[in-house]
Amino acid sequence: MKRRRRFNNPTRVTLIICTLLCLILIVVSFKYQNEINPIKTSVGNFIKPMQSGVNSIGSHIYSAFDMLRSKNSLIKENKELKLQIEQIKDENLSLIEDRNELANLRDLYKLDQGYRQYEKVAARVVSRDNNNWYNMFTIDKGSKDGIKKDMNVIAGNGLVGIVAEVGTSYSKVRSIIDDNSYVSGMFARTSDICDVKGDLETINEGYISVERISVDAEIEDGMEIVTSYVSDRYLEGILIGYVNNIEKDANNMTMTARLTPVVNFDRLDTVLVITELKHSEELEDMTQYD
Amino acid sequence: MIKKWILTIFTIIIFYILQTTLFQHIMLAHVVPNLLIIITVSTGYISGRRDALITGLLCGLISDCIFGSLIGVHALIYMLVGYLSGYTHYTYSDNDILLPVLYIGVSDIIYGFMYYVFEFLLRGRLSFLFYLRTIILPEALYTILVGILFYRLYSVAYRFFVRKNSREAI
Repeated sequence: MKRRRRFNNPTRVTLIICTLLCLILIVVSFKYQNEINPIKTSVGNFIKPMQSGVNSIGSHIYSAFDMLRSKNSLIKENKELKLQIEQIKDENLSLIEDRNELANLRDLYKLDQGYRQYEKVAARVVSRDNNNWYNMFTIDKGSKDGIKKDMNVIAGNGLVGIVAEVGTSYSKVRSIIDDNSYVSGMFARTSDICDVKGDLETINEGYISVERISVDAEIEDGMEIVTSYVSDRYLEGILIGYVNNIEKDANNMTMTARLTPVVNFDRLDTVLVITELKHSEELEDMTQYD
Repeated sequence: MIKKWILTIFTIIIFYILQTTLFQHIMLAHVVPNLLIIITVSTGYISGRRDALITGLLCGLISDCIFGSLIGVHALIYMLVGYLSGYTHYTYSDNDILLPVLYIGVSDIIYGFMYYVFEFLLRGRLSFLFYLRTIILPEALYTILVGILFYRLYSVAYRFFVRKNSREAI
């Protein structure tokens, strides 16, 4: 009797039907991830143009507020900047010396080819993720601009993230500070391999973690970490950030450190997408035969 | 009936776009208010469990389609929150602002907790207190602040489009 009444209640029936629908959707989207992409893309294509419209209005308002900043803070900033200029002048001198030395060394080793320049496409950040748990964002270039999945994204001189999903006129980028992100890195000077993992818990304090550094590695605070040659998705030699707080793990075999990214993720409005994929077709062929 | 759902879908899209664009510029304490929760709970408060459940489902589906890798996780969470918030319909009164805003805050905390369980606890991130302190509570507070304004807007629009119509029908 009681059970019957329970099923006669239309609200409960709706709840049960919708819950089942969600569970089925989860399973289906898990199993057929590629087939379900067109649906996501079409919803994205519908929403994105509106987002970029509102976004441009938003940034206008924001910049108007910015103009109203008090004079005092500008004067203070000016002083700080002057100090910085002095420091940079000093650094510049030593850098020029280094450059000369580098040129000499290059001549010596006939490394005239130098660092390979990658082809890049500039893109604007259109929107961030809709909640506070992820660190993903959307850019306004998609497959019609030649963007493909797994392309590397940089800003300024540092690594920002990787293209996780592509629509016709937009794509989503997972940044390296995302909790799910995982980048294989190496120390630029000593070529020691390590893992750079995004962590929501620590990024508020401005760093993410570097793990599995070999205990034999001769490293010190302030060393640069770049993307490593063993990574199958990240191109080699892109600067990620600087390490500090190196500590030995409890197992005495590895070390952990903190990494401060060179990119400021709070104020990201334009990024560059490298239109070159790490995994070549040969590599794919090889994995096919495996 | 159709008018009501057109209004709901329209509001969801507008709120969603605001949340992903405009509010990214006015973050407080590194969080964005959860406008989709505001619609879901407002619907629950104004018109009951069943409507809130479907509104929640729509909100969840839209955020699943744009972000997130699996379709259905957000939908399930929003739907459950909507269903729970529908129970507050029994306390509904036209002019009250305190109660609905309070419900919005509580629902946002429930949403945050469920989200943590689904997406973080299952991956072995155990420090719940940290997430509570830095994301869930600030988000709830900010959502309450924004909710005062947006609940008003939504309830006025709802009354204007839906209630007027049904009175005429009577």
